[in-house]
Amino acid sequence: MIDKHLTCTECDELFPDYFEGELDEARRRMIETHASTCARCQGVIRDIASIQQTAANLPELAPSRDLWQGIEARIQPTVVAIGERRDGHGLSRRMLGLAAAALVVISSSLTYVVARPPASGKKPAPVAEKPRSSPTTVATNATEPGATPTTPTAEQVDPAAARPSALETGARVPSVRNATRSARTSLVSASQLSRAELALAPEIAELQRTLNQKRAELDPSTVKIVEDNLALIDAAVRQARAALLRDPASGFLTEQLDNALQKKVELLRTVALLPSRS
Amino acid sequence: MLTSTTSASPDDSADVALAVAGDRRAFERLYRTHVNRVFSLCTRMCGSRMRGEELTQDVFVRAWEKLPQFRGDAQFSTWIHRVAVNIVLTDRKNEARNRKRMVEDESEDGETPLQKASVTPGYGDRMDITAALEGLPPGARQIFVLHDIEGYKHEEIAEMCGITAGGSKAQLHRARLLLREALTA
Amino acid sequence: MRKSIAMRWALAIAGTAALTGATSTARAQSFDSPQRVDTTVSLERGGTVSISVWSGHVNVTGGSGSNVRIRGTVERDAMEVRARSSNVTISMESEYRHGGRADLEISVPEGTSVVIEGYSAPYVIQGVKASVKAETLSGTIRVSDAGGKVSVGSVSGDIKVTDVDGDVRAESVSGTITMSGIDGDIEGESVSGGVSINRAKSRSVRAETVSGEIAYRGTFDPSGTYTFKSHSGRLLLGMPADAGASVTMQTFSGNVDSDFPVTLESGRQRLGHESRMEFKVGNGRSRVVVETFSGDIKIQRSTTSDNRE
Repeated sequence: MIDKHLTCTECDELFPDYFEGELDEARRRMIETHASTCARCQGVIRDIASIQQTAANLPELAPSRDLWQGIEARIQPTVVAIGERRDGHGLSRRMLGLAAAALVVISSSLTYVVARPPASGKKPAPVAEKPRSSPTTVATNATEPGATPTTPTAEQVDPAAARPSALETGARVPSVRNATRSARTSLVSASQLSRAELALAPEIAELQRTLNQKRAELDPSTVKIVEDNLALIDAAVRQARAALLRDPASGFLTEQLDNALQKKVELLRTVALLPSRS
Repeated sequence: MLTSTTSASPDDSADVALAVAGDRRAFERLYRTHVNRVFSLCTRMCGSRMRGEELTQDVFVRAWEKLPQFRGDAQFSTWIHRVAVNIVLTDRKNEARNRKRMVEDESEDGETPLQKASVTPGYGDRMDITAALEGLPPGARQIFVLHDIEGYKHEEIAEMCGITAGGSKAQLHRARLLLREALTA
Repeated sequence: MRKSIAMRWALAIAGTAALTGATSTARAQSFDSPQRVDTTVSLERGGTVSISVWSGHVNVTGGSGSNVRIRGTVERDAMEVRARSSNVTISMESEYRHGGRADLEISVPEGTSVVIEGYSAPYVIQGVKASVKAETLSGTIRVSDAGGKVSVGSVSGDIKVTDVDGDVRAESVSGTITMSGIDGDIEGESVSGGVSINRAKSRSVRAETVSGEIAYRGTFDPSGTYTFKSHSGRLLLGMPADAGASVTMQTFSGNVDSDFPVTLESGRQRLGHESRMEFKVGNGRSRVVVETFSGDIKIQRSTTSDNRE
């Protein structure tokens, strides 16, 4: 029904769409016609338009203090006990003695690698900060006396998530136009590895050594299953890495690669802690 | 949409690239460039400067964690803005209350007394709107901030808040009317 | 997970330590021929039975009564049962290279928590109406009618969990995981095995595989989050038409087949195959995330009857 003269109530119903500019021409004019003789609705239109206008031009507020300290404290990488996993992962440790030995070996080599300066080769991406000098231990969950490795200068590392500043050199190639084509060669050099790969590489290497030792101790069918599945995961890592090299800006692909690496670590850890036959 | 009192932000892309690679100093530079905008959003949406400061920190911490997922095909400012909206909307302290208000168009229960803005001839004065915002019920306030101050469209707001576009429009209109009331006190 | 090993070591160490309540020990010793076992010990309501075996099978059944009864045969190893008022442990003390075999039928009072560790023994745990924790290497695990937290893991054994009133976590390397009738949070992970979840009533579901197929048919609670990820495995979701869900899907090279119309994420340009796709069903309240690298994604419109009993 086309009512040439709107009531205030009818205007109220149409106002939401009116102020959003979503009313058709005809209805818009009806409202404006009504408002031309109605002080109340005219007031609403004027005031709301004013609010819209003011809201769109509000100045920025500023915090009462510098908030950076609080932020910085929370983005430091955290320590993760190497034997510890994300809640619930992996099978329990049956051979506690072997497990403890494996964990100690892993953790000492991990801190060693973190402390060592980056391998020569590619020029590292510019890094503005030095590694922190706080003392670190990568804790194990088996507290054996004399088995706690300490490195005074290495940054604490959470292989799963955080960004070790000592490994910032050789971090992922920045995703901007500045990245040179030569960096994206098919060889996987240090500068092309993602942050997660760098963080996890030492532990993966160590766990793989443990796997090699364990091979003789596990029954053949278990060994086969482990190797088949490792090969599967390695293929996934390769695929994700290859895709990421072609599109380094992709957060999605970075996640895919990180997921695959995480699965590899978890599988290797599981194997390291399997009971042996003997 | 906001008129920035700081100088126009320089091209962030270099700092973003460094920050993605783990450079904390670069991230700090990004923080300095964008903190006021983020703070403004958080404060206006939650109605409290103190909580706004806490949320601002949460935003930057979350942004740091999610940097690997930043695709670089949108502006960093747009992206961190989105992070901020998500943080505020999922702010646990307010979550239950906010959800309820988003979905049901209920009237305020008076938990925050409506602040009467000072009566000045300059109706709709800038400072008064921010003050008056604090008196709105949370759902209406957030939608007003997202739409009229931050410039999101109803479809986007609907998606972010888990409501319909129609509901967003209705809440917005209600917010404007409430503000109008507060400002003409 | 560490707790189970701690428990075991506590046993070994605290062999002579007297805990509250009577401690009784029974041993079944056999070296070459299988020997019958039939032992009954009492256990408080809400207690725990911990079992550690190497091979053979273990069936645990919950029922009325207040005793734990262990029947079966034991071969080659000594089986030791330690009973305290609130927990009973049954373990094979392995003096032999390949461990001993124990085929056991164990009945426990309803409400008893069960913890099992094994190597190749299949387990069946049913009707205990309490929490279950089971780990094995190659044995299969079947849990049904449990309550509270169920946490199971295997390397190659298949896992099947049904009718649990509580949270379930299942992990395997190559075993398949099937969960049915779970009323609680769900986590399922396998490398090459599949993860199949049916008749789920959950507010938090996470299923991840590398190459295994993932299938989900369950409710989508408005406050819930549902995450399904695989590298190359197929993802199959049954979405009721009356659900309320905001679904985002992303894949690098997999095919996407959806019964619901899908929109590319607004404002983004399509970068090869990588765009995020979204669609909303109903009020879009629950959040569903589907990601693969190369696995195909299929979202089916299911009738609600598919998802309920």
